[in-house]
Amino acid sequence: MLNVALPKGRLGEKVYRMFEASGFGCPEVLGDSRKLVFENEKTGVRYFWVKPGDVAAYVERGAADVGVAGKDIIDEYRPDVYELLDLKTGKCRMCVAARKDFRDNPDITLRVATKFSNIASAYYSKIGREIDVIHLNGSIELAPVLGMSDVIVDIVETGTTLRENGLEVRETIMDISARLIANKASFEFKKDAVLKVLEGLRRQTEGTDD
Amino acid sequence: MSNLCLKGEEKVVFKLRSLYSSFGYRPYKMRRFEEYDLYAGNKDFLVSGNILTFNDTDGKLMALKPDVTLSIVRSVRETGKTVARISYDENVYRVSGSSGTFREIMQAGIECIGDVGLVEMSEVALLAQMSLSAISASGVLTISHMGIVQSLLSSVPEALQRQAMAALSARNISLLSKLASDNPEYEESLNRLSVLLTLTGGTDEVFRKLASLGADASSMEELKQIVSVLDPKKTRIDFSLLDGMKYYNGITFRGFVEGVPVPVISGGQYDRLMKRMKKNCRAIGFAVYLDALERILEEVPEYDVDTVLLYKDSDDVTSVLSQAAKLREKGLSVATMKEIPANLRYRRAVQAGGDCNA
Repeated sequence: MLNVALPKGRLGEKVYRMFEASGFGCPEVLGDSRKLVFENEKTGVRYFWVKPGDVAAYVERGAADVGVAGKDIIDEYRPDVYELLDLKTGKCRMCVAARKDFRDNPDITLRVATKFSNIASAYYSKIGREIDVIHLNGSIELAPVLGMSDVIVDIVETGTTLRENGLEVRETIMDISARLIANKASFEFKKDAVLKVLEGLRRQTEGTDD
Repeated sequence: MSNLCLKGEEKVVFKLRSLYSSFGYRPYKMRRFEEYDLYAGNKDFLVSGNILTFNDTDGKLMALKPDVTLSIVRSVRETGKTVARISYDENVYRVSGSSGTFREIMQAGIECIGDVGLVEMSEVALLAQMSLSAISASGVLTISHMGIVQSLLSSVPEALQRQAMAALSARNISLLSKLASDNPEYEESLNRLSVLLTLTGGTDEVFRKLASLGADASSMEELKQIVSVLDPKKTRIDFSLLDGMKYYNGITFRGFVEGVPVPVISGGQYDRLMKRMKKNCRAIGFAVYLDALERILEEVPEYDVDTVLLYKDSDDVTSVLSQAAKLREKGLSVATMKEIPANLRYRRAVQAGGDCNA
């Protein structure tokens, strides 16, 4: 039985369709049920819905053999897992954004509000800039609006939230998309199933490059 | 021109240095490293317990200075018959703010060590207030006296004292009331602490109420005298100020300026630290945390450079540089470049070889 952790939400539903097309169907998954675990003995798969940010933890701990997590989560938490495939979906960017009128003064410490402290620290350390990280859990855009931070490091999809709060993208740190991740032990012990998933998903992502 | 090149915090350091020297404080330059043992034994005196350490070539465990006071106290040879007045502005290395990472922080301050009496204490409090004024017109100094708080709790057992002090420090009146009702035999003492928290207004009224609570008379006199030399509009009595009880014994104070969310000055009388470091004398001092001021002191010039002197690869190097030098003689800042970066703010751009007066 292959245990698969799917991220709750639209991305998870889309990704489930890809698993289904790879021969790991379990129609119950997309039903209205409030159940969290779904099993299909025929196809030998068990799915569960978890918070997108928690997928990596489930896979790293072996509760799930494979899962789908955003590249942002993988880079932020650096779980000890295999990153087998770029699913080329759930695309967005990790960006530095600031108020339109903000002018950076490189002579003083830059205050950075973010949910992604590790990504922000690594980015600024690479360019040698001293920063003060303000770790927030949500509504990051508020920080520069209130003058608590100079910039934010956050995920940008369409940029609408930024625009509505008078912010704009200043730098792109990296492109993000959903990735297939696998537990390292499961990769050895359930190799056939994992490779079958990998192969099925790979076929579907081929030719979907921008 | 040179003054324009100073950062806001550097300007403040110069102001403070001249202020302290006008009161007879002598600057003290320390080495950047100290033996780790000095800090390991006094970690709760430090703003942050984290210390950057390394092994010296002889294997000795060393630390990058996280604090200045301990180094000064250790090095001063004061017998207690005279007073040593020491000022400093030094970089220290400690964990700062919410980032949880080490930073180099500029810190200034004074230490007054030896036969410290009411004159010295009042003067140090006054200097703290004057330091605040050097930073901002909106400074407020909050001041307390450990002796007053302790005298009100003298009959309370130590464990309960600690809980009561923590509640007082957090201004948590509901916890103080609960402690009082849970410990009826000490109810009166604990209720007096709740009253202390209401004493922040006009100072005369504060001292009348303190007397009625039965606070230690000599501590009250001391505080009254010290407060009398301070600007009443910029001074608040605040008995919730209880940090560093292991070290401070007499007055303690903190300075705040508008626009900075944390105290920018912190200090007090630390005879207990002296005793702990086996020095037979008294001491009082304070530190000014300049890193906290970076934001309010930031001055953003209108332009990054006055003139951009644009040259081509084919231009003669000597003539490009001499044209730039001529412009600088007029007091302008000049940057030579082939192409202007998108984010550069400049007053004007001139082509090398062209008319600079245009």
